[in-house]
Amino acid sequence: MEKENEKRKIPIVEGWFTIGGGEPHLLGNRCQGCGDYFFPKVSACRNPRCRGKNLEEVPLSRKGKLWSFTVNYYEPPPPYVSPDPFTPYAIAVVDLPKEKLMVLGQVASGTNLEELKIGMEMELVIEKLFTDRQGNETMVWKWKPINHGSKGIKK
Amino acid sequence: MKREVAVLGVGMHPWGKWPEKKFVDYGLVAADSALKDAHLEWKDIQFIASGSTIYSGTPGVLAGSVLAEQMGWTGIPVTSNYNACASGAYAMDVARARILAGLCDIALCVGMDWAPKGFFAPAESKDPKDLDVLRFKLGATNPTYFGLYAMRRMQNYGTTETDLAKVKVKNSRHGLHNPYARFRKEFTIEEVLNSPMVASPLRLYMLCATSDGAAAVILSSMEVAKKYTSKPVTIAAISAISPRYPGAIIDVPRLSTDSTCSSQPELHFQQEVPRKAYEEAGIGPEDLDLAEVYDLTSAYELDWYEYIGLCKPGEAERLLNDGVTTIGGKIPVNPSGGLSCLGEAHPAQAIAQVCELVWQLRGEAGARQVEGAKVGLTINFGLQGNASSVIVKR
Repeated sequence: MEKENEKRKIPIVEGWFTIGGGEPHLLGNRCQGCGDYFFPKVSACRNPRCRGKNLEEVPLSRKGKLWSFTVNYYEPPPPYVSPDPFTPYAIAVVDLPKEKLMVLGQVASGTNLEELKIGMEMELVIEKLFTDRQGNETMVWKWKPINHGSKGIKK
Repeated sequence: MKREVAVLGVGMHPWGKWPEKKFVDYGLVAADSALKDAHLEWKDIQFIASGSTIYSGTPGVLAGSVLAEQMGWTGIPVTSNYNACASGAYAMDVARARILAGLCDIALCVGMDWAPKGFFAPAESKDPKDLDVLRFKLGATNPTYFGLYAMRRMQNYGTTETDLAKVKVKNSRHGLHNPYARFRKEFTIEEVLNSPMVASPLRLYMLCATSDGAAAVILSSMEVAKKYTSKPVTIAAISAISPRYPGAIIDVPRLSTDSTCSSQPELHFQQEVPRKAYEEAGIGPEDLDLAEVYDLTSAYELDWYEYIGLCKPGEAERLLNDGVTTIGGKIPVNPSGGLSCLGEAHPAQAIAQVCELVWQLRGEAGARQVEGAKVGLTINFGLQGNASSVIVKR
């Protein structure tokens, strides 16, 4: 049993990504009829030429290329939970070459936002999004530049 | 087969913020103005199609009925529809269909909106996987999606911050002369570049505000229109369509694109919407005299120059900088000042764009008149696969 004062890590949505145990992955699904991938998972294939009902859950590639990014300087309205004081954060869209789809997410905390460049390699991490009133941490996927801080990846 | 309908009258309530007013207050002014413009009376209206407004509870969902009750029930059919930013276009599409089917001769189309100030927030939802709620939890506000597109545009085509500022400067000069515009102030490049960064590379004055307002048009069969005028303004096309799978651009409020493993999109949705309008009207971009496009951001306006075929991808900045899209240029874009001057009253904006084109085509646009305008196109683009393009001719 958990102790009452122990912080719990709660995924923002159950079943969208692996949590704990090795490298993290987003969990999508793949249509066995047409081969298209979906994230978040769908209950039936959305390809109108397929409409297959047989889909398997698959971990998505955890590395891809930065398609675009933006740094948000204004505090969003609820349900966004902002640190106090608000700190700007970046949103990234990463292109996954194998699945041929792009996934949006926040950029990992601690990233030097000045170093973000379209086309750079990014990898998936699971991080805290915010801490709720009970002290539980809501966990979410984020994108982190690979070799962040090293000289090898500039431009 | 030609499937044209005529525009008998147009009317607007000025756009802005009046927290004490209700959406129907705006709608009433717009509808009465359109009736007056058409030299018609309320009893002449045989059908109402209205966009719904989403921040006023059930009355907002039933906006058309609330307006009809306010004007005095006359027993006519009334419908309200919600198609995000394309709501007004869908209202006109439904009215046109009833007119062409011979079910009515004269229809009133309305869009009216009252919205809370500031950033749009998601509607309440009990679904823990509601994407619209989740993306806000992730901090993916509407401006962040627009920032992503703008950043990508800069990467692809070398768009500069000054280019983005110049879109605002142009539209602010146009909007100065629009009595319905909320922001009637001429901006300089420096003012835009010195405004606070919202979602990089977009600064405050490169984004459109959320406004209240209303717009109305009265449509009729061509036959009925001939009783009123020998040369009516006509609706030559209404393209209000949904996207085709797979969508390869990340749209608000999605967290991913579709996968393109099994197929590639032939055209992006943004290209498909005007293409369908051109096809229906039997014209091409070279036939346009002016356009009112969805300038939710300065970068978006540049994207639309390309999507509607005014130039090839990557050439929009040249068009802007050469003055081609300024009043007096070859193809003025957003002579009304666009959403940049009006602000966004989203169920009303597709109708407001048609109001502007009608005034322009009648030569009644005053100091913002596009000389000799005969053919115009509009573009709207919204959430969840809702977008529209309307072509108006005279």
